[in-house]
Amino acid sequence: MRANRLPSKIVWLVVVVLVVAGSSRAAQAQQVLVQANVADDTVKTTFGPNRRYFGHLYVGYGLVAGPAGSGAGVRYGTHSAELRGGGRLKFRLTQTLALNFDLGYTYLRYGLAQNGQKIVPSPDLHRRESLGLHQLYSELSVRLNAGRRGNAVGRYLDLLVGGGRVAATNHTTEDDPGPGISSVETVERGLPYLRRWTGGVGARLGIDRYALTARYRQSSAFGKGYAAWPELPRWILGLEIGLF
Amino acid sequence: MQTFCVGLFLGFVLWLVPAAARAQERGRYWVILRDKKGVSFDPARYFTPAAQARRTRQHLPAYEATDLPVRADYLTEITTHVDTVTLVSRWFNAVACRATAEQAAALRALPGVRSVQPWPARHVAVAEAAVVSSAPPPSSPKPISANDYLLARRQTAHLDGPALRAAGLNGRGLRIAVFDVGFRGVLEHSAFQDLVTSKHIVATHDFLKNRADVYHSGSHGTEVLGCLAGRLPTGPGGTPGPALGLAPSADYLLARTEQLGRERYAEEEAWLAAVEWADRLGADIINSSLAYTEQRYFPEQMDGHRSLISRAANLAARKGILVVSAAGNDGDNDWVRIGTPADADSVLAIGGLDPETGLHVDFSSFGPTADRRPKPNLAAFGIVLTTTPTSYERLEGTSFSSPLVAGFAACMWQQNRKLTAMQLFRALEKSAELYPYFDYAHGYGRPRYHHFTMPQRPPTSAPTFDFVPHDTLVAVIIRPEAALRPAEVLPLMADESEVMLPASTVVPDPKNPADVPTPPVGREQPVPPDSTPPAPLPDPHYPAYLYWNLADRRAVLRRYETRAVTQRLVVQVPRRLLHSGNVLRVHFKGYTATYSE
Repeated sequence: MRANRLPSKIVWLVVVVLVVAGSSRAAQAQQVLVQANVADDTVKTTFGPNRRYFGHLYVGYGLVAGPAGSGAGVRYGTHSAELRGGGRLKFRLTQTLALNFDLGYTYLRYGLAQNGQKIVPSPDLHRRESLGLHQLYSELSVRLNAGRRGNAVGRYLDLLVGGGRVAATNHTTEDDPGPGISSVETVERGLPYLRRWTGGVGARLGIDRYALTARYRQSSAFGKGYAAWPELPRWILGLEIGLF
Repeated sequence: MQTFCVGLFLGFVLWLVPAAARAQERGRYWVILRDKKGVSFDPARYFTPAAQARRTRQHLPAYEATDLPVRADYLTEITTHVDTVTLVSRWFNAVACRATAEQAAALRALPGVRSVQPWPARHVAVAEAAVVSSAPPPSSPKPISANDYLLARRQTAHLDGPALRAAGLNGRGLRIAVFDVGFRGVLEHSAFQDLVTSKHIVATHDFLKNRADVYHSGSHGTEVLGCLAGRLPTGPGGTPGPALGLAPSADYLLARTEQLGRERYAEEEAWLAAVEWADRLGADIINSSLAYTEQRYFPEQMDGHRSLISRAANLAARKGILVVSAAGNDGDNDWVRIGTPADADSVLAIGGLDPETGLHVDFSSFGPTADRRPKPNLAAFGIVLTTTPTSYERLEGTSFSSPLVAGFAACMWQQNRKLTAMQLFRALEKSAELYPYFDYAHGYGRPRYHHFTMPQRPPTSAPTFDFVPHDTLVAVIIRPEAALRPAEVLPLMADESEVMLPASTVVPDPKNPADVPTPPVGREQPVPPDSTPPAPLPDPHYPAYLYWNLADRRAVLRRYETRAVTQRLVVQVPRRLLHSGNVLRVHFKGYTATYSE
């Protein structure tokens, strides 16, 4: 009898499993048109534009501004500009105060003016000449928010301090070679005279994802061995757009 | 270039700094007064006859304390201490003003002042913008595609429009206030010709610029009004065009309370001023196709008490006004929830339905409120054909669901003027297609007319399904007799309106809603013309869906679903989910039943 009971139990189990599996598949075959798990939808979050934590990417573009030392004149406007991309992590302390930590990359290009006073990096004149700096940077900023708002970034003023490591440099010149050839471009990389570590301060005025920025480079552009060289412009005024 | 950059930067600073710096110098404050002792008030002079009649009908007192004016001596004191008084609110016995911090401190010391709260900064209106002159209407409106025309017919038919028209219900005698961005083009648009010539627009006011003209700035109000009282072009022989909404014969109060392109708390102040104005002029219904969300609030603040306008809306309901509000267009973004004032307890919050399926349209905001009250209350089409300043466009947004239901409510109130606002509110909910089933996407569904013709709804329809408990599951199995799919009989004519359709106005190349994020309520844009060509609209009789939800012992929903029914075994719910007092509720073909253990 015992020998007979075991197979029947197994058969019964198999039948139950098949029925359950079959009915489960059948139920799953029903098309769900609207579905919500309220617990998931209504969970209070700590991440958001005006929550405790917020992170986002951003891009920026700035123009070099401010006076240059004699012999280090630059061509202003889009000839001397900075392109910036990075990420920001914001820690909200109060409704009006927050801390930001930024990490990112910039490419800064100085279009050098070709005139008789030019001495940086050499007195030689070219059709066009520029210095380019690829830089990894980090910034710490204090954010002062104005006005009541909901879960939005709102209006703010950031006071920032930061520094960076110049990862790569280049010196590009373009010349008129002579008849029959339109131009010759020469690129020198790994420039010894450009300083590798930089630092500066700045401010950012923004509304939600848009911000105007002003940064002032406190470190000199050129390395210790080139302290006598005239300084390149220290200001960069630009626009940032948050990607959120 | 350098000078230009510096100038640009300084300009931006000057533009931005006011919020930070000037707010410190001269901010806005909300001054709540102590009492209204000794004020004289004659309700017969303050309220219009329509407002008095509304109170009489609903057995409300001729006035209550909130209707009394603020004390003149308190107001005089405040006026002498501050620079500008921007709003005097009877309802809240409060004054909004601009003042320095020192002036605010002095206000706190005044004997009649209970409290002084900082109020979000309001910018001085930029120099009066030139009134946007409405473009002259084109000689003939842009042709309406066949699909759009069909949509226009269905957006009212879905709410029993033909039956309402047959019963002579069109909102006549009702006074509907519409609060919106602007009503550009209303006076010139042929869709509102009857409304204008028959003087159904009884009053207008722009509460942002404090003047009567509301026919400027924005056209969202024009689009919303189209879903209440707009008409399609006239047919051959000058026959009136089919109505786009359900209350073409109601009287209208048009208020501009919202500004395009900005989200400011000042708009809520304008909303409050408008609701007091509408009350005084005898509004029966307020349609507010506006929903304020993350620019001002957090989702957890959508509890019906936080925002000024939700409190004002509740007060309006107490005074006998039915407030109908769009739920919001945030269902498919991070906000998800309804906005305010849809979160207010006594506001009829309207969600959006997809005309293609009759189910929740993805952008329509979900309930519940932050304190877990059920919202939205009802639903209607969230994709409609309506009026734009010079033409007709297919638009999407719960902004248009709200006026469709407001029009329906006007018809029901026209049918039974004895109902109070909250009785009508409850009756609308009970009339709805899904009632007593509810979920946070559809509310109780669309309101239906037949409930009002047969108010004694049979307690239960014939059962259409059974709960079959197993060891670990509860199965919901549709009864064989409810699983039949009856053959459909074509009507002689699809709709009377098709007779009126001018053949020349129908073009075969229609537009369809694009799969793009829907802007917030109040910011909807026409569906772009390059959308993919639509599939033909399905039959208005949608297939029978099965709705089920799982609620806890406080009736707060934990899960809910809507399923297509292709077999009789539709749902199996694990029994472990039914512990702790949880209740399974299912709705299918008008029958709702619950299962609990």
